[in-house]
Amino acid sequence: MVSKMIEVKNLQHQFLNPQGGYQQALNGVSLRIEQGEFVAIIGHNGSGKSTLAKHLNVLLLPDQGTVTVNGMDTKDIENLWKIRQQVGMVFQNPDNQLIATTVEEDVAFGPENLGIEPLKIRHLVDEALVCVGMSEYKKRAPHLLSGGQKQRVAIAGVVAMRPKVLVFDEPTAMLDPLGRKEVMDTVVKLNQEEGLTVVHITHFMEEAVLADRVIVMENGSIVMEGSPREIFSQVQKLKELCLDVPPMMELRDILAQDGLNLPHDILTVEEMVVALCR
Amino acid sequence: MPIILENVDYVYQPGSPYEANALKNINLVINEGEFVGLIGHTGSGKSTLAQHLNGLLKPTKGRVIVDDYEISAAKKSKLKEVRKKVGLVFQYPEHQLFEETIFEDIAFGPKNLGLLAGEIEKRVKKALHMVHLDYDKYHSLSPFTLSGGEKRRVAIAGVLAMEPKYLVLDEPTAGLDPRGRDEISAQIEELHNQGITVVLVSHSMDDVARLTERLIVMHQCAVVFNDETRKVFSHFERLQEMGLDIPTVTKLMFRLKDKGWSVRQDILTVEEAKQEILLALKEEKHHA
Amino acid sequence: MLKDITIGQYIPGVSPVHNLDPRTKIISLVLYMVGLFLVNNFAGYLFVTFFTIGIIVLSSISIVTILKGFKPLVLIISLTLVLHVFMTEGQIIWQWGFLKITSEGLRQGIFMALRLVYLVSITSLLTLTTTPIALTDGLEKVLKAFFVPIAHELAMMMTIALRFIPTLIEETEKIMKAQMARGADFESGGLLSRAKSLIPLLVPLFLSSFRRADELAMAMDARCYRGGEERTRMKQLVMGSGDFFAYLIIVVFLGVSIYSRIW
Repeated sequence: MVSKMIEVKNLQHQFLNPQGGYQQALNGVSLRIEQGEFVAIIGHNGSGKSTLAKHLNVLLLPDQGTVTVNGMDTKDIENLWKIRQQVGMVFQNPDNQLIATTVEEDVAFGPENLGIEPLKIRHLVDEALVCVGMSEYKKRAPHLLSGGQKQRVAIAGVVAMRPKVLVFDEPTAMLDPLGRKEVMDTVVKLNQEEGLTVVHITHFMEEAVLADRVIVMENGSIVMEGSPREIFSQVQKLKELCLDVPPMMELRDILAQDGLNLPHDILTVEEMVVALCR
Repeated sequence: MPIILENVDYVYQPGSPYEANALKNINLVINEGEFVGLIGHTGSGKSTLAQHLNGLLKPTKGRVIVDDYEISAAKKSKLKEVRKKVGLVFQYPEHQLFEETIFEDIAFGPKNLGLLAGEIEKRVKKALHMVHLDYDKYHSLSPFTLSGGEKRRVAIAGVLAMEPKYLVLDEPTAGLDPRGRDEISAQIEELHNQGITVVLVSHSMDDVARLTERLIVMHQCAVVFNDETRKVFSHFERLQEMGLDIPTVTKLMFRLKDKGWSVRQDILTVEEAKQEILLALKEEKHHA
Repeated sequence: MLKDITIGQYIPGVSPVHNLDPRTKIISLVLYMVGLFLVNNFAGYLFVTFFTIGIIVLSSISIVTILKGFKPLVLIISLTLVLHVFMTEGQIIWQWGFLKITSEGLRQGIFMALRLVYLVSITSLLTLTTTPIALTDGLEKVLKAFFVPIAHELAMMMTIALRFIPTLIEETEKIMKAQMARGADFESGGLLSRAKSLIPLLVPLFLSSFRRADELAMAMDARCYRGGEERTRMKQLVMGSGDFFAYLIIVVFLGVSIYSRIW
């Protein structure tokens, strides 16, 4: 039976504006994420996606509404550390997550905080490093790693705590194409092979298409929700929201304007080739 | 007058245990008025090359000539003169902001050039205008109260205030969302149209395809391609081997050709792809 | 570039000194310092010299490496020597004008200079033979044992500082280059103008460090960090027979030092 892992009901959040007054960051957001799902949240900067993410591991508390993780209400202080252990979070800046002088020491940080006994920590660290493909860099100093490698170590540091949910807050924004590929391969692997629920926040459309479901945010609200194909075929709407459109979708659209009608959900080059050759 | 690189070698920390080649026998010319792209995987030498264009790095062998100024290992050069002509915008340029007001920060460059107050004010106004920020609204604000995209524009204005002839930008859209990216790209295009020679170092094949006329491809510290952008992207397999990608629409053209379609492969934009496909269908030149 | 140099300069090795528990090394260093400052006669200094050389040999770190650490200190040591030689009252053995050298001055000068030299040598031996992690772990345990408050927080601060030094150096280089591209000059000019020219370097560095600290704290929170309470460590510090002998040796050293003074 597939269960509700995360449930957000009418979530509202306001920020104090440095120039005075309040800013509504989240405007009554409701959503549900099932166990094992891979959900991508896209939207331009300021749409509220990061703010939403931080509610999932209680880095932020709701002003109104509720957030429930695996049956636990985030407002209940008793649940704080349990939720934080079950919802792991990876942030944008690879450097500003690593605190130790070697890779394995950093990955051990999380389990150490949980008071796990030393031998077990050793196992968790080794397994996590295998999972992200960084085992041979165990004793390396973090500053000698590439961006993609640093992010994978950050991911290992979270995975070692054996969470149920992984929240990725724009983890590839500061990486080069190779680093982005390394990280996304790891994310997909963690979802498909380890069965972890993944919430992936990004503005790279090539990453959002890997998800089971895409949620589009704008001005603190959810404005679109559906499968990647459903979302990305709405070329006009995406352009209005200043979001990237897959080139093939865009091509399909302008060909249609000139009278050539092809199926609506062409996402990849191959699909376009097949459609055109018919 | 062009920027010329002649037999440039750059060895990083020569003689030490960390010695490494960063540039190998580079021969390049950047002509006035061009819009050149510089691509290559991380570590291919792009950033090192960029830093040779304004004298931040001096070649170990060979020479770099910017207008009449020669930069080489042996000569003591008037580097300030070079920095006047060639502006370099680093990645995440907003990290270099430091002054109390936006005016003061943009004025930093002109001040270093020894200009007088009147001229400095003129330049700051012009630079802010070039990045589409209203002088009256912004000049007395602290740069740190701005959004990420605005900060970046202020940082770029700081370099534009030096009134360079050449502008080298290292990943100017890094870390920005699509909207921010489009804004900066549009502004760079505008700067080029106003007469500034642009060298764009980028990982984004789509940006480079859309904006540049000529493309320099670096691989393992050497220049592998140096040609019209369209022509460079036609070397699909070679680029893939080097770990580089090509624009999605270009890929489509290659695949259609594989299927027997008689289409040009030097297509860079969605619009061009549409034209080419419609043309091919009309003339019924496709055979399964 | 500079980031390839690790501060603390740990040099891997398998000497008896390398293998000691860091706590033993830290406590022994303190006891060594006490003994070093107690000796005040020729016999005592002779003993300390042989002991110090013995420890260095045991650690299999070359003298050259240790001497490299003296470069910034040559001035202080020379100054100490000169001050004591020329300023101490006593039996004059050489005079030129108002400059006089006394036998006591000569003695004091040499002894003080030697003290500094030995102190720096053995302290750098500590960082040369101990990894930064082991060092901060050992320090934390020792401080806790002596009921020093916020021992864990101090150790955590040290670890994070050590981790970020290469990163900060890299960032400084980047900011320098960006400002130089705008015509900044960090090299020429008098002392005052050079100090002023550091502002475009230091302000961005400070700002990014504050931002970094903020993000790091959030990441640590997200990984359930709640201070040192109930925290375990993956790497456990375990004392061995080598540590027992080390303690024995250092106590004997201290004893002889005290004795040399009384005798």
